[in-house]
Amino acid sequence: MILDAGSPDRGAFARTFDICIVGSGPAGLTLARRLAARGLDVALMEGGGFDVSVESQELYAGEIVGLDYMDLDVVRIRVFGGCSEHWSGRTGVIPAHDFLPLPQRPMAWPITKADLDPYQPEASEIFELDLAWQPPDLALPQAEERFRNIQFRQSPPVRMGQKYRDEIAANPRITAAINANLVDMRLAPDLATVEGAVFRSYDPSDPGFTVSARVFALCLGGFETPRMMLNFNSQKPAGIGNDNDLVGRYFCEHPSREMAAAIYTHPREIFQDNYSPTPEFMEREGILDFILRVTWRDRTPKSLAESLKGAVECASPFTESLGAKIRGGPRGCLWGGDEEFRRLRDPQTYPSGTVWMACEQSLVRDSRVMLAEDTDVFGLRRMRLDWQLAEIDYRTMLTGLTALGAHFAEQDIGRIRIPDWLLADNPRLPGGAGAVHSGDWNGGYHQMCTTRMDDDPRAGVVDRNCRVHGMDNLYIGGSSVFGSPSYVNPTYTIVQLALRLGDHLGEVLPAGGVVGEVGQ
Amino acid sequence: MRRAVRSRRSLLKSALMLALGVSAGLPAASAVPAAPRPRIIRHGKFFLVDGWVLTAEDLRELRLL
Repeated sequence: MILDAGSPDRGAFARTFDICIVGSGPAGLTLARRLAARGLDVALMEGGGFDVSVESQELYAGEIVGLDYMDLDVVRIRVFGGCSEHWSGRTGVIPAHDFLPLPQRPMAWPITKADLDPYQPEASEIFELDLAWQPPDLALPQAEERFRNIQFRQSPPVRMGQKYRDEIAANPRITAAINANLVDMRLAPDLATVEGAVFRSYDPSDPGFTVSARVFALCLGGFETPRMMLNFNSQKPAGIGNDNDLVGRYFCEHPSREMAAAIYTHPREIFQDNYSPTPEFMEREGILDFILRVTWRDRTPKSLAESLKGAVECASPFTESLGAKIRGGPRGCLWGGDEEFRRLRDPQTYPSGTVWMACEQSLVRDSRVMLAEDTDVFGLRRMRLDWQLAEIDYRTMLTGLTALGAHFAEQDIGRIRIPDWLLADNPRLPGGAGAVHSGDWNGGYHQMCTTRMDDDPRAGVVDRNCRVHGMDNLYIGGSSVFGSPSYVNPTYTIVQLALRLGDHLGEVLPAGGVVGEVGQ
Repeated sequence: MRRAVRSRRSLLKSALMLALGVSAGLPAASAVPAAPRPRIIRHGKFFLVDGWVLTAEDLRELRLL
């Protein structure tokens, strides 16, 4: 059943569950379905409703310091189904070499790609992908081995809340609630066991209710999971799971934006290529992983207004001059109407495009989620985001773009221009705060690594089984447990990890067992 | 019409010349103001010229080398 936390039906939670899962995004929904299929008794708690609401989104508001970032109450969506309700559907598998430590990546995953590979068929089924397994690289002629031409897979995209709502409601093993906002977690006297999670509806007079379970899993995403853990400090002053001052640290995004303008020698018949460095190139250059999405503007614009917004001609002095030369008129992005625009945009005489780049971010200890002084309606301190990059991140961008330019020249594909800000002595991502849909933003809506996975409690918040170090029965699902971020869109990996966590808990939580220490 | 018979290489060259504000034999667009000589940074066997990743041949054609 799915009930409303503000209704009397919530009496259904007055018992002890095998597991209480907080958050119904891709991680939480996948984990709930996995454990219910094993016969376990699941409580699934979602703070939002079935539709977006102001009162729910407002809880995500917070402060931004450090690098500019998108508005915090917009960049995530707080509803049943979580961020699958607004994701693009692009999926990929993190390559094997991105799990491993390197001199330039000293902190890496404690698990390997082989640990997640068994979950590809089921994850692909969930996302309704044509292929169960990641397709191979495409052929890429090149004078020097620098790049792989990789393939992504495209989900419709699946909206998990919509896809699984009826199934969850009909599942006798799952008791789910919407509008159930987590406001506290109560620990046993040993301070290593969670005894109950406290929830409140949006009714200001609601005293709240406690859900008891043998195991708890926080599946709230890369921002809310650390915010909650830091806020729950009545019994542990530093917060739950924060004995080593790591909760919220190592915040990673995929630094990404349109990085370069391109002019091509020949019109292209394909729409897009995705270039990623080979492991040998990464090692040789001492850089991190990335993806260069090379777009060919070879299609008739959908509309003048839409195309003008991203038109190459107005993107750089070079392309502006090129337009002036072809028109035989003065420089300036002044258009003579739709007919002139379409003539100039004829891809047969003016092949051009852009290069969009997304990078694996380095792990920076002081790039972090903290607590602000301001509080939300439940009295919990809001989030303060301090996003920081390191020198290696900018060097990865510059090295990757320069190598692409060399590849273009060698293969007579065309030429690209690297932006001025990246060539500066001390580069810094340009501003773009709040400009979520302008094409001028700097991230991918991907919040990762804030409770990262590491076997060493001094380096990570959770262990390889996603259990919080120092806690017997608290687990975390979602992108916050990524050991390092790779460049790959994270949702597919989130579901692989959730399936794996489900299998682990299915082994340590035998159906019908009694409450006891979970241990390793 | 003149544009249609140009080679791709020629179009690319003229585009780069315009971008970099150099003249290498082609008539300058009257409304395009002259630009200072661009900054050239060597990067292995390639060159960064006002951000453009160019070859030595490009620079010779553009009379920048």
